[in-house]
Amino acid sequence: MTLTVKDMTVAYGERTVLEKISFTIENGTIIGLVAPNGTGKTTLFNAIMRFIPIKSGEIKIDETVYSASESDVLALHEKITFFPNQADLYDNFSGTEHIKMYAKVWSGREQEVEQIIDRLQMRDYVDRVVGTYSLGMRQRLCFAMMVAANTPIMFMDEVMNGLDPENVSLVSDILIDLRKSGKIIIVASHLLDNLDEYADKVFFLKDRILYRVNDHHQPKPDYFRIVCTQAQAGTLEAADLLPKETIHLGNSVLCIPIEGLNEAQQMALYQHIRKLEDVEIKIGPLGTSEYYSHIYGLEIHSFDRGQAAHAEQPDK
Amino acid sequence: MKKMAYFEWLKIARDWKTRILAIGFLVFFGTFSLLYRQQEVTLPEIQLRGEYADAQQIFRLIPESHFDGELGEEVQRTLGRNATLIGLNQYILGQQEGNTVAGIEDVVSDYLSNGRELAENNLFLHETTEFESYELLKEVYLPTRAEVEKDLKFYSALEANGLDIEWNPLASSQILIQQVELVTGVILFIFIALLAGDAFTKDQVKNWSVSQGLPIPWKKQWRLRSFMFWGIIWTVTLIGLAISYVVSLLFETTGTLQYPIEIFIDGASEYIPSWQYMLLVIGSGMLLSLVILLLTTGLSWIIRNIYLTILIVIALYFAPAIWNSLPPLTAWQPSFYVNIQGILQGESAFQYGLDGLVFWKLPFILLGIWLLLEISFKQIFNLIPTQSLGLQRRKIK
Repeated sequence: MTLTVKDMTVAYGERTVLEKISFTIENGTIIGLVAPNGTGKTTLFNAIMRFIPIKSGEIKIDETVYSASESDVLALHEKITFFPNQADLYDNFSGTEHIKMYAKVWSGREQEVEQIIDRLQMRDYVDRVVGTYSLGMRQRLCFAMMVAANTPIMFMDEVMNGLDPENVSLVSDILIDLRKSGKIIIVASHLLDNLDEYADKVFFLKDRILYRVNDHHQPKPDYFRIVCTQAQAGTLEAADLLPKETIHLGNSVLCIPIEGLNEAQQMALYQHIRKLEDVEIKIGPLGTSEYYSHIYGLEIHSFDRGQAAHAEQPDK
Repeated sequence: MKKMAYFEWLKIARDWKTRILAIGFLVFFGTFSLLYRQQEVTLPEIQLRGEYADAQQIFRLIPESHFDGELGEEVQRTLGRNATLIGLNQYILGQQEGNTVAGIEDVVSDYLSNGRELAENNLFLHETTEFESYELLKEVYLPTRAEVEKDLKFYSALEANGLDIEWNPLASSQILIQQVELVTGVILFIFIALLAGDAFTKDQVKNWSVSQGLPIPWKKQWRLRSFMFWGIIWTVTLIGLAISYVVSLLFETTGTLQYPIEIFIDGASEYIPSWQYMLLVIGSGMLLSLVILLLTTGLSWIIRNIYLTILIVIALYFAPAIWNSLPPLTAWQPSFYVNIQGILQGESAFQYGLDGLVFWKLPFILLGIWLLLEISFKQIFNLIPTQSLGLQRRKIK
């Protein structure tokens, strides 16, 4: 199965939110979709689901184009499920009833509900009404509903929202299993390092377009990734050792591409860096979080851990 | 649709509003007979007392001289006999024994014979156009010819079924008739509006992402929910009616479900047993309620505001009155058929001067409206119910 979106443009009145978005996703693929809040991730899902009108563009599954006609939308909804918002769950339904509802409507495999409950470790609370659940419990339930629906294409919007590290890991494992069974999954998430653990590709939305695609199956260039102060970065720049492709992330991280440097140049640069005090250095390809900081110009790696404030405190 | 039916039912059944309304209306319907007993009712005996006074009064209004001559004497004799007959029937009703009074049958005769003689006398008086005070007689004393003929049919219906005249307006069967008529009037509209006014609203406001994207057409969900509400309304109503009837049997005379009730058929009044009349009223109410429910749940999908939906649905009960105030176009005009009781008993036909306002047209009219709703909502459900931008038109290439 292949999901293709071609030249999709979405506008709210005069304001264009997404412009000429195009991509093709093969089965057995997990796509990470990242962008700051309000950039159009949910709008992209809503547009593909036909929950909002699209201005232009085409949605295809395999070779079939799904128009906005009622019959096409229903056929589309048989193949795609959309991750529910945890606040939208029925407070007076139990978790089991929610999961059974999705299983019955989509896959018809109600007999697997118990297995899903055990897999997501929900047994101790799943028969209580949802009104009593914490955010994390609700989030796991939403994920369980998607698993129960078992559609070939799944849109997981903010799937890790409110989950503790253990459950993030649990959900990640199940996503990997779902991929093995041939699903097409798009995960919108702000846990960028977590995305790198399972996503085949990461889509970055910016300025209304699909700005960048990182393919985790393609070879990636290595970098010196240095966490330092701005003054230290200035020292390195002054030494004229940095290639012009060097990326400054926020106020404290330098990503220096080393692919264009020969071994001697790399060593010289390394020795220079080592002379700086209290600097962290890592060597390897950049992760989604670095690209995210670079693309959206965010200062997410704060290097100020409060030393300055502690230093100013008078001795007791 | 079947795969979603159970969960749709859960949504409705677990809603506190549904439960409170169901219990509230069940208590109201179930205790109706007790409430009805609290109100002031005029006993038929008392009504006849008024008629007896009128019968006396007419002698004072007609000049003595007009009773001269053969016709005058005949009229005087007839009026006198009528006063006697009314007095006898008043006495019979007062004794609360049935159509006659045991032991003095020869004196008081029986209610039906007296009534029939009274009606025939009145028909005779309608013929006395040569009588000098005929116009006065007609204006202040005589019931219309149609009313007299209706009375004759009523007595025949009682006689044919071997029934006694009902002296007790609070008899169980009489209360049941009143209640059946009540539950198919404005109460039905209020029940529907309160119960189904937010049929889709909650899903679209509070549970949007869980209820959207189901591979089930809105049209099927719309019909499914409407039928479920319909089931709740009529289960509550019928159980309430049964409870109320049983309770009334404990406190009042039973009356009879065979008691004749007027129904308007083919331009004339006929009498049918009250159980048949109640079945007709309830059947018509069931059809009407289904159409109103389809409209209400559909509106809740569009409007997403329970208060506005309630207002519109209740206004629907009163809106036909405005349409009816305009010159009628045809007896098939749907606005006439909201008043089920008026159509069945011929009051609407009489009020609007349309003999074609008959009850058998009601199902056809309602089926026509249903078809119209199906066509309209097929178009409406093509819109996209977006989460925050209201309904949006699809752009289908």
